[in-house]
Amino acid sequence: MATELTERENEAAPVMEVRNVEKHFDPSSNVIEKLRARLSPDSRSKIRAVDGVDLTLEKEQVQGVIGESGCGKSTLLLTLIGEHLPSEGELLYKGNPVSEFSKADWKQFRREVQIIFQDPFNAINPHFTVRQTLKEPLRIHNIDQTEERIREVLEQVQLRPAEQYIDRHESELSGGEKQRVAIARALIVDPEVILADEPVSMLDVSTQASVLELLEDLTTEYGASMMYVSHDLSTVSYVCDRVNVMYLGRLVEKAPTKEIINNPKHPYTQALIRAIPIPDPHFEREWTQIKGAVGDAQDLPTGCRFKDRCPERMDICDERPLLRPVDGDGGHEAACHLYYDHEDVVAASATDGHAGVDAE
Amino acid sequence: MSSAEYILRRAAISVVLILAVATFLFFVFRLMPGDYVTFLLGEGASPETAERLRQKWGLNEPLHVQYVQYMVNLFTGDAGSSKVTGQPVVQFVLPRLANSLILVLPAILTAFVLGSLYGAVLGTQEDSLLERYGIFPPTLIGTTPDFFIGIVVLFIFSAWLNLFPPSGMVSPGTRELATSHWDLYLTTDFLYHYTLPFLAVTLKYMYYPALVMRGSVVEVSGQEFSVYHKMVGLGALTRFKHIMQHASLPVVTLLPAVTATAISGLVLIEVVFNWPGIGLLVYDSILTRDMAVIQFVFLLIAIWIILGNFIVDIVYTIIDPRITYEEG
Amino acid sequence: MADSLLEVTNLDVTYRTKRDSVQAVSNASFSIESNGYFGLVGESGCGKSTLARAVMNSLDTNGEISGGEIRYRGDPIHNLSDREYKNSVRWDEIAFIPQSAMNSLDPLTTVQNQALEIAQAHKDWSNEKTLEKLRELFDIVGLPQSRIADYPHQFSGGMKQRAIIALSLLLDPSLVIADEPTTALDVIMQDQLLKYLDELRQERDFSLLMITHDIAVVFELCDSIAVMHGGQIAETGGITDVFDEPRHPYSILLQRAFPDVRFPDRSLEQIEGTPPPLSGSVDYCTFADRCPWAEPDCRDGAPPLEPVGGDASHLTSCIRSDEMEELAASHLEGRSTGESSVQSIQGSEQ
Repeated sequence: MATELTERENEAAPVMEVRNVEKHFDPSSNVIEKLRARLSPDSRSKIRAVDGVDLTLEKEQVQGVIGESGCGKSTLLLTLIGEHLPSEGELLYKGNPVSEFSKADWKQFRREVQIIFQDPFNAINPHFTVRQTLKEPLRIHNIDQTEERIREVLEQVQLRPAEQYIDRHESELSGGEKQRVAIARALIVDPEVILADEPVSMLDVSTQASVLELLEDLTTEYGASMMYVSHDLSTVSYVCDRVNVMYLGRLVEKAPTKEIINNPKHPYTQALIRAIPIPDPHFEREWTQIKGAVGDAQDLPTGCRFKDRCPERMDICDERPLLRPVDGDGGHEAACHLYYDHEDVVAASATDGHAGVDAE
Repeated sequence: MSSAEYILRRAAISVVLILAVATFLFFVFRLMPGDYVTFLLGEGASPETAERLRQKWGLNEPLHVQYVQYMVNLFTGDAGSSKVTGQPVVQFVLPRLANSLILVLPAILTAFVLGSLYGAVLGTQEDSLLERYGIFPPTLIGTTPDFFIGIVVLFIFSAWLNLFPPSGMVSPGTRELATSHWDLYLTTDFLYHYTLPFLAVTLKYMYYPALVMRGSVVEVSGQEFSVYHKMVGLGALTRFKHIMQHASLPVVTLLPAVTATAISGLVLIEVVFNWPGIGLLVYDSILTRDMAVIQFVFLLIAIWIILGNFIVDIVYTIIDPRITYEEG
Repeated sequence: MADSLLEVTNLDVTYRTKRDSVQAVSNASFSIESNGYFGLVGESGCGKSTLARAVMNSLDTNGEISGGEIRYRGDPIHNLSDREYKNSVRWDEIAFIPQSAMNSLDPLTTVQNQALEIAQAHKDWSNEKTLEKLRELFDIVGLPQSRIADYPHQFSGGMKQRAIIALSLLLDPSLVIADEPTTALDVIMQDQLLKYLDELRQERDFSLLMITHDIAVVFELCDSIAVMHGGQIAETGGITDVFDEPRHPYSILLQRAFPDVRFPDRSLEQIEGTPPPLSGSVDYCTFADRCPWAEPDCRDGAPPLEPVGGDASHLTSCIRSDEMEELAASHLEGRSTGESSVQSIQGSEQ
């Protein structure tokens, strides 16, 4: 259905972009605390789940976001799909800001941007057969609900022969099969962007491989872009072209997958990589040197949020590090004072007449 | 927020609630259709008497003035006089309240303790006939109307076996000899009369705690820490103690709700046993249209319910250290 | 074999429901040495947790050991009554770290009271002695001693995990069974925890039986391994033996199904199908329907565990094991060991 949005599409623009996006949550729950928060907006009391993230997803690109639990990656994903509206900053789809969307625009957005969730056991309506699960999105978006279309998509997610699966209920499917149905459901409307939230973490290893392969194939076959969120660098590196590393609401490093693994710059990324177990008894890996756990999202330190655990901490780390290119031109950026001179950069952008750099 | 703050806060809310109920009652009774005084005096009263009464009771004053007077009276312990006995309501009602409380509170507490233990034992008998069918007797009794249980109890133990007296709280002789109301409770005559209504109430109210406790115990036993306790090798009694700690939480919340219901069910039991409590009073005073009494009794019942909830909140925080004192 | 600490021989575990029975474990055999680090690996539902519970004499009421033996220090423990087990072995010799520390600690009891109850159930130590031990253990697992009197909800997730490790070591057991100890943890926390566990094991001289689905962790840390599928032990033996010369199709394929971050370009092995439901008696190889090299004989009788190449410590239950080296050559080749194609991940050869 051609809509205004399609006409306003900017061919050259990335298919999805977030600019300085923030998402805050209010931890207070009762009336009195909410009033108090409104009267004296103290930024400390909010949970800054996503705190100033810039991301650009190009056409047919697969990007990953990795981080540990509590880093905000799931919130980011839900913001990308429009479930959360950003507290600050912008989300742009095909060059158009989502804040200017009409109802028709949103309808198109919801068809073209699909999500696959982490938990296959809870993502599908247990009362539906596979057929009904797949018919639903077709119905919502006014696409012909042909049996053939359903069969086709089931074959594509490797549920063959389709007849065997089409009438089954959720309880008659294994975890891997359920996840494939969830993927089929996302594919059946011919999406432009697929957002995946840890889609294999709840599956057994033997199933993970095939689902990962499937996801990889899909982007090339369908020409869709994908944003893949996970805590597991091993699976992310299998599927993604580029990786973004997230820590407590901020992106600390961005690079092509090979670069991130071969040449991690940020101390957190380095720690993450070093902590991955290697399935080889002949290989003696160094143990992680990082102490402590990921900090509390409500009680954040000023400046770099990793500074309390960082083995390379310096005084300048009390200033929020900027995300800047490091090393070469391979599109590798890191937010770490080890790689640039903060005072120089701040001075330079001030004399250039830019708006004040966001420092804390 | 500390626990002291929490308790103060809950207390303040309770007080506000009670005032709200009193206000509500005031307006409900004033706004009832028909003229209050003629209603009281009946049809045959002369308009002059009616007018004099209105003057006396200040019923011609504007509503807000009456309201203020009403609240002031309440605070000073004056709830008017009973039409029937002429006594000040407060003085008249409170002993009756005491009679009800002394019946209801121990009986329901006993019902809860016995019912819980019974339910807990059922819950630990996994997969056995006892677990599945043992709930039947309390269910049967619990779903029978209370007055019927009262009648059955009366029939068996009084009429048939002739073990206990059929009615009243104390026999007239004891009442004459007693020096104060409270002394009445200390007589064996009282106990003698007390047994059957106590039995009826207890039997009736064992059902819910048994049912809830059984379900709760089954659920708690399946939780991981119960499994861990078994793995670690804790003795059966220790494990049971832990299970009871967890499983009793839902039963504790049940208590005020049940006690509140009991107040209303009490009317019928008191009628059956002719027990001079608040239930029987409600019944009688509605028949005689003794407004002042009715109003006050309703207020007392509301206070009872509000207090009950307040007490449960406090008890809960003692039992479960996980609960922090945050609202919402 | 010299007296192993724990020896499981031909173990069968059956669950009986109203309608039928499920053979959760069939003919399992393996052994754990003193101060050893044993990894029991398998997918969800393969029977590894059931096996652990059988060793702990903590099967659900409808489960029972229907065959075989479990011996601890040479003495049978599979047929002990609850009381006998408690007096001889439970917690004192064999302890357990549950999968979810979060839910296994009683939220209404302080940690120190839980420790006191454990000690009182098995020993006649004074309270002071128990608390002294607990403080010492808190120190060892990296928790502040002052917090032994706290309630579980006052600890963070990672701290709860460590508290429960402390409780498991309270009576100085010789065998600690850890059930998926790192499932809920992030990569860095997982690394920290596994480091602790291994150091503890070496310092306090106990054996660790780790139950997990994560074969990478096992290959990294353990000295012996057993791979389970559908209630059967597919392969067991010393870690380097099983890694260098796997002889069961499942172990061969499983190794390649895990992404190895040193070789991010390598394609992952896909294993078709799912394990079979194990109702009735299991007299077939439970991997047969998923196996690329299955033959009709594979479904004709349960495959026995046989030594590989005469090495009694390396066993596998595949009737075609001596052909596997050839048959699976393509899956086995290109396995570089001790190397890394990734610059940032370098180790030293062992």
